[in-house]
Amino acid sequence: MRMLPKRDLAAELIDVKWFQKAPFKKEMTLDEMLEDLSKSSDFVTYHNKRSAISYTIIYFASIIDPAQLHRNVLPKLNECEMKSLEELESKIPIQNLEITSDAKKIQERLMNGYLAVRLSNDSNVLLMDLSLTKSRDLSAPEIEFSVMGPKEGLIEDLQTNMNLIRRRIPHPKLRMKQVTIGTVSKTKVIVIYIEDIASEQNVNTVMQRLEDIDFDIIADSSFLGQMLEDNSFSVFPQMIDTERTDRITGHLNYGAITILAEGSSNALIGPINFGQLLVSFEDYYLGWNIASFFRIIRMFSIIMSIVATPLYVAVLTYHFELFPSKLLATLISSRSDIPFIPVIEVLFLEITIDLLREAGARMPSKVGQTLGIVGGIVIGTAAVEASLTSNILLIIVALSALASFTTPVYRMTNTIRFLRYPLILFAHFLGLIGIALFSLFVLVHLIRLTSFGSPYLAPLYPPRLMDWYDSFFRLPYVMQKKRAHFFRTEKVSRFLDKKEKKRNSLDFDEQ
Amino acid sequence: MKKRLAVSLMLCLLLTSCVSTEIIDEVPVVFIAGFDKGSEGKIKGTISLQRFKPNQEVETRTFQAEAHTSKGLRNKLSGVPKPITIGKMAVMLFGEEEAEKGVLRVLDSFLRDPASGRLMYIGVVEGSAGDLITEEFEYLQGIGPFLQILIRQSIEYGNMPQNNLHLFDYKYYGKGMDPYMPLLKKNEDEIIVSGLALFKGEKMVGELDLEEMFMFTLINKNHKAGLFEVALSDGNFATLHKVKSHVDYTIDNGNTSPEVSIKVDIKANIAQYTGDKLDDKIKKMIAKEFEEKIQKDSLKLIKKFQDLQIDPLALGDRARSQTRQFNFSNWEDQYTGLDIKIKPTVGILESGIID
Repeated sequence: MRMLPKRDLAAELIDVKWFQKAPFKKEMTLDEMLEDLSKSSDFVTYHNKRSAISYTIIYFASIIDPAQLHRNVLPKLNECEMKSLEELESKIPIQNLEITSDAKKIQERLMNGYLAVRLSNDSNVLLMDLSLTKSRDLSAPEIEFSVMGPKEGLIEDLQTNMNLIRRRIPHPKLRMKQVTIGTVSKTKVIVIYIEDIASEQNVNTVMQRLEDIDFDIIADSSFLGQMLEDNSFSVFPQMIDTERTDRITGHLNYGAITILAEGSSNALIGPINFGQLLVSFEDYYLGWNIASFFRIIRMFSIIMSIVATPLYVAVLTYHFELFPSKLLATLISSRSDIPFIPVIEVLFLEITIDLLREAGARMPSKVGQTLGIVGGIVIGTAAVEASLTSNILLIIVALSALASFTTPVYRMTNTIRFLRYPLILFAHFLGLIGIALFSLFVLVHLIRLTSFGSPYLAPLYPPRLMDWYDSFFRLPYVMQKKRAHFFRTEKVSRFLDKKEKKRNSLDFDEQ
Repeated sequence: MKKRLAVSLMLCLLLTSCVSTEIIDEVPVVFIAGFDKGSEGKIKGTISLQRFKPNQEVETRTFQAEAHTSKGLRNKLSGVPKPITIGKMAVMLFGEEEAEKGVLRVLDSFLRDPASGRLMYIGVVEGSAGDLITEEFEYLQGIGPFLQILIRQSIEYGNMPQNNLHLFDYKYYGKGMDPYMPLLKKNEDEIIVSGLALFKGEKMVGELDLEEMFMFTLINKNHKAGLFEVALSDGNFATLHKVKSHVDYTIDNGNTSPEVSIKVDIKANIAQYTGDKLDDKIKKMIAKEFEEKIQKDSLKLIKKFQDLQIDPLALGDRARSQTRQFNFSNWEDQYTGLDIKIKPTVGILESGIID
């Protein structure tokens, strides 16, 4: 502890020292720092006394590349007559070299896979980058699978991911800004956007929110996703998690911002609106008419998936009039042996399906398949035979589970699964009125929700008719002339149409 | 804000005790009900329940009780598990006596009840409705669904005018028109449509037979009727099918001395002809004779309505729609003596694929 110099009380009052932060810990010297690090068994300090000037090499064995060390560093150290670090620096064929005496900086570099060379007991060291990153090879996206289109997914290595994206957009204005987040994990986070296209306001929002994050560990980009969200109480995803590079490029070009995190194979895309959750990037590879049709089907399946079983509960509990007369016989016959009220019956099957999903997700994929078959066929049929559920309900539940998987964004699938349960309860207690009530509640929530300050229900509310060309349906590319208003981009036009091209052409360029 | 919302949502759940549950397999589902005149001015109600067995077979059971009101019947039907629900009721029948006494004392509660379907068919049974319902016919799906299909098909493909609870209600309360219902009859071991029951207000006052009903359907509204057999003057017969009528009512001088002319434009196909060869001449003849028949029969029909002082063709209502400041009392005074002209034109569209 540093001793405070003695002062009289009055002087101390005037100085108001107590408002200041406690004095920082005394900075460690290089030797103290090295001693501290040597408590780890993978920390190596090798002292060579035999050479003309004795030197020490210092590194973490677990994160440097031993091949480079043996090929590029050790031979040079031994063969040359070292007089100074500067001389050594000029001999070693490695890119990132620097000489410093800053203990803190040296520590940081060592942690990142640098090797330090120290001559005798000089306070200066030469730092060289020998870091080794091991990651898996590129592979096809597993969550967002598609039949058509590129099969290239992000991996856990940040450098590779950045490479993948920049290769797809070789545009000078493609900016990649780095922020380091996490007091423990020191995760490198890269914010990517195209400068002329992305709205500056959005970029600033993202950068500011990222810089304000104070957390110890960022294990995956989804951590950031939850911290950056406008409303973290909401069950609706306010950013898209994606591992598809084509999707990232597409969104960047519209004016969205992408966030990559070291060690995460998912990128975050924002701002988004509800319509984009229905978009599978494969839609752009199919014809516009077919793609539009499938988007409408997806929209329908979301509604069906949420509402089907609650409707069953409501109709069977309160409004049997709504049930078609001709189906009554089938339904009542199959329900006549069931001892439960409809809501119990529905909850039983819904929870079974979700159990199957949870179990399937935790199981190795080969076992998972068997599990699906066992669960789907055996439990389903057995439940009907044991008079626990009616076979009509079995169909409805299976259909709504199937429909929930048509959503291209994984987080949305979970939202749909989640929303069903409160709705079932409302349907049980209040019938169709309950369903209407809860739907209104969700609608109000969606209207109030924002993603990076942009309205979540965007082309619908506030109505932006011009943005409709690529939301709930997709018009042909010729008609996608303008970027959506939603992104508030300054460069609206995506291409020049024929008239404009003619105007711009040279006079003598006639045909 | 959030707290208030959460509280109000929870309060919604407290409301739940106010709504009574009607779980589909626990409530008795009434498909058909019949009402007859009971003893001491009471209503005799008969209901038929569908019971669905686990092997998907349907069993019908009938119950009978008497009370002063149709809702009061529910209490008297003590053999039926409560609550008796009328939401799936497809057909309601009245006995002839009850219909002549007035159907409103029964219908009123159905019209008020939001649970009763507006598309429910209503009809009058020659004789007793209760006997018809309790009779064990060999209809697979039970008498209720069968009657529903019988009446619906008669309207869509046959010669019956469109009718249901809602339309009866409309015609009953509307000025310048009178309601009607199909007339059903038990014929040995089956139920048949025997004509149309005519109402004056809530009371049944007359009936049409099947041929009159066809004529009524033709001139009442644009309609695609079914088959009609024309007896020709040369002793042959021709059957017209897919008879399509387009009607146009013109009513002049609605407030002073009304002149009603009804233009009926009919398109039909010839399905059968008992003569030798069906050439253009004969087609024209068939059309002409059909026109004459329409002319004659429909005037007779309208005369019948005027004698009964009823207006099922809704002439009064049509007059109102074509006359400024229409005076209903003047119209009603003159209605029975109105001179009504019918101008039918019949066009034969085709006569088969061998022409």
